Amino acid sequence: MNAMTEARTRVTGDRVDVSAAPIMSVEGLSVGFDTPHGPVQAVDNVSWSIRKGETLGIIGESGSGKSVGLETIMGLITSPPARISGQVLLDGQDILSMPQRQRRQLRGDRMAMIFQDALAALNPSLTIGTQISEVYRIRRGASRQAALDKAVELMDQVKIPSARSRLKAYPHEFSGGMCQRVMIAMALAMDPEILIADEPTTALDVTVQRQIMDLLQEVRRERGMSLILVTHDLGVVAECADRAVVMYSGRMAETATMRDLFRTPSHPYTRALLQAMPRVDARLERLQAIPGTPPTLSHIPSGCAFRPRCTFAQPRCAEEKPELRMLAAEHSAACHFAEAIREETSHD
Amino acid sequence: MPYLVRRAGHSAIMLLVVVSFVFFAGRMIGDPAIVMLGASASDTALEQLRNNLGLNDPLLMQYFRYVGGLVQGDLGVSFRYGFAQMPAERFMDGGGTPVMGLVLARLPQTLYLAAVALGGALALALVMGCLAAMYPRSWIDHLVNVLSLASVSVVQFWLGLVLIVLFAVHLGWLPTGGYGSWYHVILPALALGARPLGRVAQVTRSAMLDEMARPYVAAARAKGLPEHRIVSVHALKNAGIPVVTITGDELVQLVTGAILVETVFGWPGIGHLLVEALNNRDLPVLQGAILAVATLVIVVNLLVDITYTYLNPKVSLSSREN
Amino acid sequence: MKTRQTALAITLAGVLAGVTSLALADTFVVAVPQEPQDLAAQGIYKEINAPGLRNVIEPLIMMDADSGDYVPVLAQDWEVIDDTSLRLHLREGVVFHDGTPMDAEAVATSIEFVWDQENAFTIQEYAGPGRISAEVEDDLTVVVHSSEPDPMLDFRMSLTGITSQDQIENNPSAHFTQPLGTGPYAFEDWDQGSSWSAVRNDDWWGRAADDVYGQNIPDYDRVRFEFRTESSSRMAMIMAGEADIVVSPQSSDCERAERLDGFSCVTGPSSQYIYGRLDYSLFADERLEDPRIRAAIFHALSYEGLADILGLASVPQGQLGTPDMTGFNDALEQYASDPQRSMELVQQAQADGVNLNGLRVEVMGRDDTPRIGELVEAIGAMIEAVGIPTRQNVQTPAVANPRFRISEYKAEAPRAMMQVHVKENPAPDFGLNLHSNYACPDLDDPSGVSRSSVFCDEEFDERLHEALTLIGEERHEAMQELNAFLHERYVIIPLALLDRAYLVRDGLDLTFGPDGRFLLANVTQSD
Ligand SMILES: Nc1ncnc2c1ncn2[C@@H]1O[C@H](COP(=O)(O)OP(=O)(O)OP(=O)(O)O)[C@@H](O)[C@H]1O
Ligand code: SF4
Ligand SMILES: [Mg+2]
Repeated sequence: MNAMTEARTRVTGDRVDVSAAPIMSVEGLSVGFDTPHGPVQAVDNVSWSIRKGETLGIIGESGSGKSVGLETIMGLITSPPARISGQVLLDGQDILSMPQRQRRQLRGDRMAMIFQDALAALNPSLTIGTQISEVYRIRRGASRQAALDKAVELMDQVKIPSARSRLKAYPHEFSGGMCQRVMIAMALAMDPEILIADEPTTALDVTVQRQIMDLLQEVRRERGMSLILVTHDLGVVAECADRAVVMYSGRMAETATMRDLFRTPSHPYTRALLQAMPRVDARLERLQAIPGTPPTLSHIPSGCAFRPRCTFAQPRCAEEKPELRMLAAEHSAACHFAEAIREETSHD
Repeated sequence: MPYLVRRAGHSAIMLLVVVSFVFFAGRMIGDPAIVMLGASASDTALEQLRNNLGLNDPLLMQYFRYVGGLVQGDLGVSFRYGFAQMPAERFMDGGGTPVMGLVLARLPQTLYLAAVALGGALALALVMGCLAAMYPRSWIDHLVNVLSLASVSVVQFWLGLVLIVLFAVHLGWLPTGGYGSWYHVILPALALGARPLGRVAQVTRSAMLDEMARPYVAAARAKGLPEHRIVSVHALKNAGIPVVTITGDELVQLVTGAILVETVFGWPGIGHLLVEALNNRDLPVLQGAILAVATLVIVVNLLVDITYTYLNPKVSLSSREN
Repeated sequence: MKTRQTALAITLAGVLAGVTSLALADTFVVAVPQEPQDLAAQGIYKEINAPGLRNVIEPLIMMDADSGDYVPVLAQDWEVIDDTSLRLHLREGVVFHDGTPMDAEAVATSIEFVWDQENAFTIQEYAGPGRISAEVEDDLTVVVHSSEPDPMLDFRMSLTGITSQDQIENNPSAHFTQPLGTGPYAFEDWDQGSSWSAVRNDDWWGRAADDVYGQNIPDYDRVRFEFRTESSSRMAMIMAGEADIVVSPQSSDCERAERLDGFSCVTGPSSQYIYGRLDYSLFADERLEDPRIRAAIFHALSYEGLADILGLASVPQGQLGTPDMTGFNDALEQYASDPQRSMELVQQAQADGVNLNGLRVEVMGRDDTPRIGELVEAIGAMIEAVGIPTRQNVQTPAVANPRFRISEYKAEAPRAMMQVHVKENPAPDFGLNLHSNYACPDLDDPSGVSRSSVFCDEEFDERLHEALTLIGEERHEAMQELNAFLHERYVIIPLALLDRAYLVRDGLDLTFGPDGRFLLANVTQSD
């Protein structure tokens, strides 16, 4: 655990102004859907915030509502069909209540998003050059040539070799890693303040993963951008993030700075994750070592959703849903026994 | 060999098959001399005509002469138009109206009608399909569904007459038929375009619905593209392949549909020529018209293939070897 | 918004269409069912070859629509010299549309060109027994010869279109597409696949002549013949006010015209008739030669019923023609429709030992006959009803169908076929009719028009041969007797006479006779 903490410190340094006001804060965000099996609550009362230049990690098993929450923030999920409540404040303004047109203006410009499967997220029948430059051309009113020049500049930044000659290439001519670089270039075209990266490396092999993560860190640092990083890879979070949010079944289980999270994990789920992590670069997919499976959204157990898998569970857990409680500065968890567990782990 | 060359080669072979079929089927219908002069013509007259038309030569020789003529752009001479009945040497220039001339004179009108019908239908169908896909299960979607279903199931011939009665007879806005000014094409194009309109709108709608659910659409939204560009450039270009396929199919239908529509509207195209040749038992013109229609169909198929490769960059013209 | 633009475009189109039709207001528009195959002079012998061409190309003489007599056109006078020659005196001062003179030399050239056997024009179907030639007697006198006696030379001259000699000799290919006649309208343009048009000929001889044919001097600037194959499309043209006259409407269109404003249906007799040719002497089932069986079939039919099925048709008077024809026998009546009598006749024949086992009369239609399916079915049912089995069949003729070739009949012998077919009397004369329908064909030399006959009777053939050489009243009486002779032998069933019909715009009157030529000279304003 020491090694990890050191690694984090090495990469991130002390650039984040902890006292600064957050650039974006999510407050009580809930997203529900109506499905043939009845209504489900994919995101339930989630609140967090991110500061300028900060990297926020979001961790959680598959289906825990990471993507739904972020896509709602981006405006890719809208109501209807989804049921959305809560607020997402950007510069103190709730973007969820903005009209569609205005929200579209925010995308690209203020916040951008990259996806897990870059090949699928690129249009197979448009050239790379078109896809990187089009938004710049349309939104900034740049000429075709100026936009292509911009595309080349962006491609250079994301380290796509011989950029100009590849403007006319199609996505299928690129490797997975290259596609992800193209995605990043695309997302950076409008110079966003917040970049949301939803599992940007899951589909890639290990060496390429590292390159992409390094690239993301680099562009973040250069642009003073904020990065929201969704990943299954605890090692990646440990290395890159300043703070993390742990999601379980649509709810926040715990949130803390990386240091606190690794030193004093206070939610049984977080603890289980860390204990099951054999090595620095362990992945959550392999964390089926945590006994049991996550609940399906339509059959969430009463009380605490983690109860069936929790080794700390008490009768109270079946009756009462634990609320997120602050344990220390920048450290909250949603467990009835969070303080006790925190005590215990800090004595380890 | 480049794909395009091979593909063109296939088309040429197909054309030769059609040519042979047209020639031998024409001979199978019976003695063209009797076809022309009728069963009660005298044998002397029949013999005279056979000599004039070279029908007394061996069949294979006639076939090679026919194919040889085709290569030089000679489709033969009409039995009815002009003076085919007369021995060619009697009157210097020609010896009958060349079928090629008749076909070429009619082809532009058919192409014009088909282009307007298809162009209008495609433009409208794409808009309809896209709107329906952008607002699924909305009233627009339902309207598009009803309209496209209706226009697919309507009988062209009947639709033509209904359009004439409504717009020409009752409202008096457009002529009942004929050819000349740009407004003459409107009603026949509507009658001819209805079917492709419906089919293409349906296919566009479902293809667009598929495409709009694909991750690249979310990605395009995420980077802040306006919705109209996402629909009309990103999704539509990918939906293009099924749309082009169905359009190709419909084009073939369009060429055959033109036969009926041209007849109803007195439109001077290849279809009208074909029907008249059939009524007149004018074998060479019938053969020529059929060949023209077949050539159109083959060329259309070739064009559709080329369009595919344009739409789908994974299939490039030179790389599609197998 | 899209919709509004579309509506705008359509309205604009309508306005423009209105403007155009105003500009062409003095164009007389005729909707015709078919595009002419060419506009050659020979084509005027039959109206369906090139409807309206008679307004551009004139013959030497023509049949008057009212009287049925020949009246002068380009020939002012004519006389029969003998049974092989006819002298014609041409009208003075007539010029073709190209300005060249219509003189004896030009007329002789046209006649020989049209009738030249080597040209194999379709007019040969009305060729007489001999070759036709023409001789210039003086500038305005032509003598027409036939190599064999031909009492119908005047008829053949009424079929012959006279066109510019200069064109025939120097530009023959234009002869087929740009006719140069002498008529009240001069050819203007042929828009292939759409229409052909002609403009008023202000120098037409008829303007000054006192013996001009027709009801008046036509005065429209232009006449245009629009080709519409579909009868509903032609109907739409007159409903929309685009056409002044519609040629060949369907009987249902005529019924609708009664209920609609703006135009009406004008009908009159035509030269077309429908017959049932029941196998007789040639390779026929011998039971069909029994007079009682034949009579039973003839009387089984309801001729009123058949005319009803056909629509624009009437019941014939026991012969294959109309009262205006030379040889028409007024004393004859149509075979009585009397199924009771038919049944008795069948029973009598059976009692006499005629065994009907295995007899099946094939009622065979040709698909170029109107309403043929219903007709064949009705006829079959009526014959079955009197106890004679039938089967029904509709086939395409001519397209090398051996069943229509007399030389192939042998293969089917013994045959029991009744061919239902539409035919046309080319002339107001029973001569050709009797020859082609009843004269025994020479199977060894099966040439000539007689080949569609299945009747062989030496007496008839001799008397016909004789009659065909006669002229005038003698000819008339001889043929009347022949019609009576045939009538009582139950040779061919006259099923119906077809009417000719036109849809005519209100405000116009159209006069037409059995020859069915559409002449603008026969269109008058009625108000
Ligand atoms: N449109 C929708 N309708 C109904 N349910 C949905 C919809 N979108 C997502 N869900 C559900 O919401 C839940 C959260 O999904 P989400 O994609 O946010 O998970 P995730 O945490 O991103 O998982 P992963 O790690 O697999 O990406 C899932 O159970 C999913 O089935
Ligand atoms: S609330 Fe109870 S069940 Fe839930 S995590 Fe805490 S101890 Fe476990
Ligand atoms: Mg996800």
